[in-house]
Amino acid sequence: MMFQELVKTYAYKKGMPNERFTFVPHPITGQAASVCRKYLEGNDPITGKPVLQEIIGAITKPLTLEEKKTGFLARPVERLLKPDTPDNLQRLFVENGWTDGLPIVLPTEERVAEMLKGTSHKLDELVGTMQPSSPHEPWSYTVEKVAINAVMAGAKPEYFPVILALASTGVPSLFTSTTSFARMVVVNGPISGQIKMNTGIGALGPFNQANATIGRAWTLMSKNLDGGGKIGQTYMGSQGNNLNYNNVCFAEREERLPPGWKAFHVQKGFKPGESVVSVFTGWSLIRADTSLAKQVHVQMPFWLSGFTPYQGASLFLDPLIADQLRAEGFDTKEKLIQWLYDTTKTTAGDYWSNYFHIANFVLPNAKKGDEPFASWLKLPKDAPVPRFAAPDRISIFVVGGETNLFWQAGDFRYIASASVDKWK
Amino acid sequence: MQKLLAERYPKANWIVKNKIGTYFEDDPKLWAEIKEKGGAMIMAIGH
Repeated sequence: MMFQELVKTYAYKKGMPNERFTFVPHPITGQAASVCRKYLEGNDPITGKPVLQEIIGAITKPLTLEEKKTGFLARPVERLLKPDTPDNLQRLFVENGWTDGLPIVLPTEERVAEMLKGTSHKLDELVGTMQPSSPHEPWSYTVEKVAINAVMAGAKPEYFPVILALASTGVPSLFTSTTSFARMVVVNGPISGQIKMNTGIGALGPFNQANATIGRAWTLMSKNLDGGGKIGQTYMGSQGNNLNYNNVCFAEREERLPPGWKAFHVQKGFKPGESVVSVFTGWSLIRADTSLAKQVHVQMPFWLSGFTPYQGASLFLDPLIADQLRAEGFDTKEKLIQWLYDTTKTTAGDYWSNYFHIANFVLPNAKKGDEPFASWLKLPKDAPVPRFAAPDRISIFVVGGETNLFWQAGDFRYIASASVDKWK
Repeated sequence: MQKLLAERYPKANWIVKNKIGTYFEDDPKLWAEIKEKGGAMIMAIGH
């Protein structure tokens, strides 16, 4: 995979649709200089022509009239498909890559109109823009286009404000990292009860229509509203991520927060009575098998110390575990977060040497002078540095049905929140 | 790449410059410098 589509779309985004470029085999990270030299002395894997010949040609030959053209790519799209049988239309959606591989609810005009009853906003109102990664060209989308994807996911109209809020974040579910990111959706506030989201037994499992379809709608939007999810073109995740089917969509069980613990959206500055959707990025979840003979908070840093410093940590605590932690002295979420921040530190040597994402995405910014990373770069190798760059990289949710003293964690980092009430 | 180009095209002066930040980030100062001092630019991106 040579990132040809990404380069093309980036050139379009910059108004230079005929920019000259050439390719070498991928990946180059970790390759010896001798291998890179062979790549340069070899052929472009796409055109088959010698790489150096293409490079020298690109900087010496005069631009053609076609290459001098500037402007942006137009994407005219018909509002309606031609009528066909349900089976044929299902096949058409699958073959065009408009689904997640599972059957969808066909978005007929009637069903989309019904979905639109879930919001007071007009169907042609712009909701936001989305792109498979920041270098890609962003696409914009309307309330109606979001409604189409909500129908396809199997959502009810009463879920639609949550899905619109999700779309308004502009964050794609299918981010085209080669490392196959997962995303996570957390719903807070009265809306979760109003639409009967499951916050109890099996909250993170396939047992509830709202949890299932809100999360699924995000993946479908990410395919259909920003051109993402095209294997080898706008999706380059080497292995993919199973969590992308539903994006770990759940609601916090706010009525079972221990006394003094704030709901997640309140921690982010919203009022308890506001309904909010929050989005996160990461890769994976782990189940932490714990000893009943030790205090819970003492065991937690052990599990989190295996996490990459690049993202963050999200803890999913059954109410029984949350009660236990409060009994151990953590009368606020913030105290527990500070404890985890302080007790999961690593060394500067480990931080700068052992993580692909730190080397690729943090080190260049540290060299540029971004703090605190620029200061960490000057530290001796054995100096302690935080595993999670700031306490707000750690998120805590209370969720579950109290059938066990259970908690699990994920390497998820908070990205953004959006008001659901705004989209009612 | 610089070594290889210098070997093959020794009459040209090949200079390597690191762009600021990650590959997601713009670097207008560098572009201006290249425009002022350079004859052409080859941008190498990858991971």
